[in-house]
Amino acid sequence: MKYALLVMGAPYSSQAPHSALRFARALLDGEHTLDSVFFYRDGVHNASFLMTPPQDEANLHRLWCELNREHGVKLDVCIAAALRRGLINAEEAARHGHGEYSVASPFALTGLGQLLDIQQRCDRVITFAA
Amino acid sequence: MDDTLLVVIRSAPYQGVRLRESLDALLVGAAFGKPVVPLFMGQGLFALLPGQTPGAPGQKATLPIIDMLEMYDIDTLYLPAADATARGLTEGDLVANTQLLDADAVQALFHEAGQVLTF
Repeated sequence: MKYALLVMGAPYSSQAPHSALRFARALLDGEHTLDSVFFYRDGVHNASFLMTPPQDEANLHRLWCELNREHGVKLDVCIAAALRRGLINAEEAARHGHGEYSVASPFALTGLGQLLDIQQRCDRVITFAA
Repeated sequence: MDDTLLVVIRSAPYQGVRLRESLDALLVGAAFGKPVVPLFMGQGLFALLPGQTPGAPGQKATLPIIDMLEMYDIDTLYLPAADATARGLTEGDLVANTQLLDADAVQALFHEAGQVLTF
């Protein structure tokens, strides 16, 4: 089956992204495909490439990137939820007059409508709420 | 009914932006021309209290969004009757276009929806 995940918890303060990653790995070890992961609410914090946890702790951003690199999983981030929380890519930073940014490919800032598209094209959307 | 999007909202107002971001999903679904059905559960029922005054510390009010859902062809706001009873609320305490459902009717909403988003 074709799956997508909806992640709404922040790394290190919610179990949601950790569980979602484990679920993703379990899916891909089986006979399934994972189309996308959509990050909403506090889940948008997963997209920051600036996160720098201690070296002996999992780097959630890096783990999502690996999922993208190895399996082509799309990483979509709700733009409104992200900007509100200071998660911003180069293009939006320029638009809003910020000198710095914290989100880059493979994470893509996109509208909430993308979540509905994903739901339309996948067999299952599994929610990991905070 | 297969295209219907059921949006389950379980956040009370002023619990951060949780409720606002749940309602956004509702509005986006409607803006995309999908039939959208909102189901308020648990603490989400408090979103439907008409007496809320705007301006809780530093946060925008969500009641105006509830009030304008009709403009998006979202005519009926559903909630489980049991959740209302548990919170001491009756239909008369809530905004006008709400409908209380028994457990079977709630189950039917999930059964009939093409897609479900739970917030």
